[in-house]
Amino acid sequence: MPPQADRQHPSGRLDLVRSLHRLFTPSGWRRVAELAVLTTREAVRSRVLVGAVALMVVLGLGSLLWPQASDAGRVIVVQRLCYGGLTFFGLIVAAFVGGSALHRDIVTKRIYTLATKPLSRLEIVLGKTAGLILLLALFLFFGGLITYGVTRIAHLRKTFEGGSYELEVVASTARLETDDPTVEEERLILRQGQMLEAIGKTEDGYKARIAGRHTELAGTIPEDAVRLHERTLAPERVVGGRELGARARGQARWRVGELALAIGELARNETWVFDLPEEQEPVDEETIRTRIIVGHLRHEPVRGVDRTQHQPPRIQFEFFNPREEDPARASKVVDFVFSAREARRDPDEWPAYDYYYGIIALPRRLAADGVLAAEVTDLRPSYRPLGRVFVRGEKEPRWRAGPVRSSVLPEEQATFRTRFHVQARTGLDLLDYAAVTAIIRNPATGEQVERPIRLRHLTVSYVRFPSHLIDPNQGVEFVLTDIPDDAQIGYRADEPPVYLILEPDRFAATTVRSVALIFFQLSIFATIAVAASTVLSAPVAILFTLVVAMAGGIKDLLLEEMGRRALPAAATLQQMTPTEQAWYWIEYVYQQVLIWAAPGFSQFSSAEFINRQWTVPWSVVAIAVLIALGYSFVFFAFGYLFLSARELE
Amino acid sequence: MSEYGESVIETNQLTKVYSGFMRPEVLAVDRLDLTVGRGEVFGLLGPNGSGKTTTTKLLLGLIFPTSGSATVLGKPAGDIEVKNNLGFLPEESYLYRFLNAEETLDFCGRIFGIPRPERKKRIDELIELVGLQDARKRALRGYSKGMSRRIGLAQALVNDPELIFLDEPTSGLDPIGRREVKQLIGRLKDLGKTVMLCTHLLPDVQDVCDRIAILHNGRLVEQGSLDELLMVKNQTQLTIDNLTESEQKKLVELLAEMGHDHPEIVHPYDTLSSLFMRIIESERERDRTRNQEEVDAAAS
Ligand SMILES: Nc1ncnc2c1ncn2[C@@H]1O[C@H](COP(=O)(O)OP(=O)(O)O)[C@@H](O)[C@H]1O
Ligand SMILES: [Mg+2]
Repeated sequence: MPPQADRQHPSGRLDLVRSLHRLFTPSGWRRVAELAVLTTREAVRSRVLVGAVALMVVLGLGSLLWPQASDAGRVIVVQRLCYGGLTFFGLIVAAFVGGSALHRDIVTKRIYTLATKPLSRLEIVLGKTAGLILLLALFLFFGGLITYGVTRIAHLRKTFEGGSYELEVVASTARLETDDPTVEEERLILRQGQMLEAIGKTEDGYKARIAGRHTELAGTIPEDAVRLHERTLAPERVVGGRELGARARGQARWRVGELALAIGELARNETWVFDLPEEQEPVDEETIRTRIIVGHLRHEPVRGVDRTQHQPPRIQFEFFNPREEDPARASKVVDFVFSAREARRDPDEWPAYDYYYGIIALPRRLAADGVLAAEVTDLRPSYRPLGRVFVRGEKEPRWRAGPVRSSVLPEEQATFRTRFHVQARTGLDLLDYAAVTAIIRNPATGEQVERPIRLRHLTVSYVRFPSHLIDPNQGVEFVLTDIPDDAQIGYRADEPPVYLILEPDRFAATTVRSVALIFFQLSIFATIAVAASTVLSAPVAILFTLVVAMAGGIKDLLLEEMGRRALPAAATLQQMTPTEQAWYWIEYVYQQVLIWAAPGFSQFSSAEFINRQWTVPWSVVAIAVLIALGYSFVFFAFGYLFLSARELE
Repeated sequence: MSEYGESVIETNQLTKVYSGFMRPEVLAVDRLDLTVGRGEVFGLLGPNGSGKTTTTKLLLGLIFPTSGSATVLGKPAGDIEVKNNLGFLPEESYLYRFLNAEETLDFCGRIFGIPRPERKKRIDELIELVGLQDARKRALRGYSKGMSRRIGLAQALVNDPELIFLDEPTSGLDPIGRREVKQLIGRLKDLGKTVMLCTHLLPDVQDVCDRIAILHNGRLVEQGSLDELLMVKNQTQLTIDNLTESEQKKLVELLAEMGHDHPEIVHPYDTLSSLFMRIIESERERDRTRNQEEVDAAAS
């Protein structure tokens, strides 16, 4: 008869204290390093690394050579594929190598070679994990080089189809060359600081365009007279349904029997005043029927994906006669119907302009004086208020740019630009301007500079904000003074708050940081895989790792701390048990610490970090390291416990 | 305590029951009390499945005893520090097959923290010792069974261990290899090492072992020095070199005159075999009768 299994083991089954003691010695680390190198070496010799890097090469070249609708699209595709490939192949390597790491050693009994040597089980798990992480680092190093090269090449090949480039005149004067003999000579002379839209490139220089309401100038400008800026999209625009046109357009004209109001831009509490033509054709004595066209709703795709929802707008207007002292108002809710998308050469080309229309009947007296005002009181989908400020006659308009994306802040060379434009100034021609003074002030320190700027009619003007005047949290404050009485100056907060000037070295910086982020994410999955392999068989451990990765979302596992930063509301707290309350507070404090440690982190969206145009700040990378270490530590501890308890039969 | 002085291995009622989810329980080692003294070559004998390997794994801390306990070099079995002074040749050579012989030994040497120059020297010595000079740069995956045994033996000796576990060291080896292993064990003994030799190949044991234990179905059925065990008190054995046929005949006649009829004439190594056979046969007989009794008891 076997003796009763009393399950009393001699000391040392879970010899954590001694194992740690041994680990934290030079020889302890050396043993771990030896095992790590052995693990990496095995994977390298079984051609895992070569295979994964070869796949990256295929992916990179494929994405580069694959036919694309436009070169601008190619950059996007190349970027997404390469960073996606790094993440995906890295995950596969982590899951397959890690998921079989210990299990395979145990079933083939190779673990005897390790376990009978003075390697504690702690050191075995650590060495295996470190080896896998080393392997991933090697993969990401080579894969990162490929990514860097390929995106660089794609960027070089990029032309200006997408219209997402602007030219800044850097020469003291420059001339726009055009074939059009009707354009007056003086309008072709451009001054330093002026912005033009780049629409292409020829041997003579850039093809450029200056578009205003009444004028459109197109021509060629020498390459050395201008600097090319790439426009970035504001991150908020990624979210569906919030995209709205940036071009103002309001006009009224007769259609057959109708008053047609075309509104190109919408914002709550904005009032549009339409001059009505003389010969109106009334429907009857009391009523006019109006067809309202909402046009130029501009959808811009983000990274090749059309995220706008094409939801027809529903707008509540209050119509009134602006000439009356205390006007009667007619409130109307108009459901708009999709009318047309502006025809484009290529249906997939962006931006696309959609037109919607709605028809309403209005009391005739509202339009009695030949003008009609329409105030937008509600909007759906809830378009973000555009934050436009139009000032008439106010001497010192004052605006503050909100918190600025700190991605570019720490760098000295980074400079923010924002745009101004003169909304309407009678008599102003394209070359006429209003000279005003801008005071740019850091709200935190009070430090300020004064800049004379010239605002041209209907032309977007830019103001540079030196980075030392921008506080990452409070943004920047600027005041315009010396405004001529007849000028109306508009500032648009909805424009991308900054134009990131992409210096070539940002490529390297961005690639390094993005790859670093991918690396830290993958190291979490490496630890999960190795930990799983201490207790699960290889296929199960691999599957487990993949499922965790997919379910957690590669990025979201790292970034789930995002977006829950509300101060706990009293009512919410009251509904919670004390434990839940405690957790809530812990999370809240944790997030606050994150935000404090890395201001950019709160703006860090998972969809964004592979965007080359947004350079991940080091503080975000640092936070990612901490989070990765935290997760890895937990999984590692599990792995150690499992292996310690496991019998190596 | 053995007569050889301080004991290197001591087990106390060491028991191992393999069990687990959806697995039948197997009693592999049953209340084992073993003592191995310093400097001994200790033979752990037993037929296949008698628990030799299990005992070794318990002593190395690879698996954990179900009950009982064991100490190795004065520390509980599985102690990490003790492993600095242990060498282990598993039943089969489970090594990293993508490494070659040199790399394998180098890796082991590094784990033991042997400094580079010494490590290099030691690797050369060991490769020489196990006769793998020609294959030192070849990956282990291309090794034959015998070569694998050799490299396994070499890696067990990297750290110049005090106590060496050899689990069936001669399996898979050619006759020359066997002799070399036996010589090696002799040499280790001369160096004052303790060797724990698990085997079912009796000729191996008889030439090299000082003491043996015989396991059957996980139970210890004999333990003692080889001489002691083989000595049959009422018998005397003469060992004579080069005895011819005619001389032997004369000797028998002479003995017959003395009244000792039918003396048994054997070759010495057969003695252990017969001892082993005798013990195992009687154990099996006992098992059979016990089983029969159980069957009878169940029947009645
Ligand atoms: N991992 C295991 N799981 C279950 N039973 C085992 C395991 N290893 C060995 N056994 C059983 O334990 C007994 C002793 O095995 P072992 O120690 O390998 O014998 P030996 O080395 O003497 O040939 C055998 O009956 C064997 O079937
Ligand atoms: Mg065995």
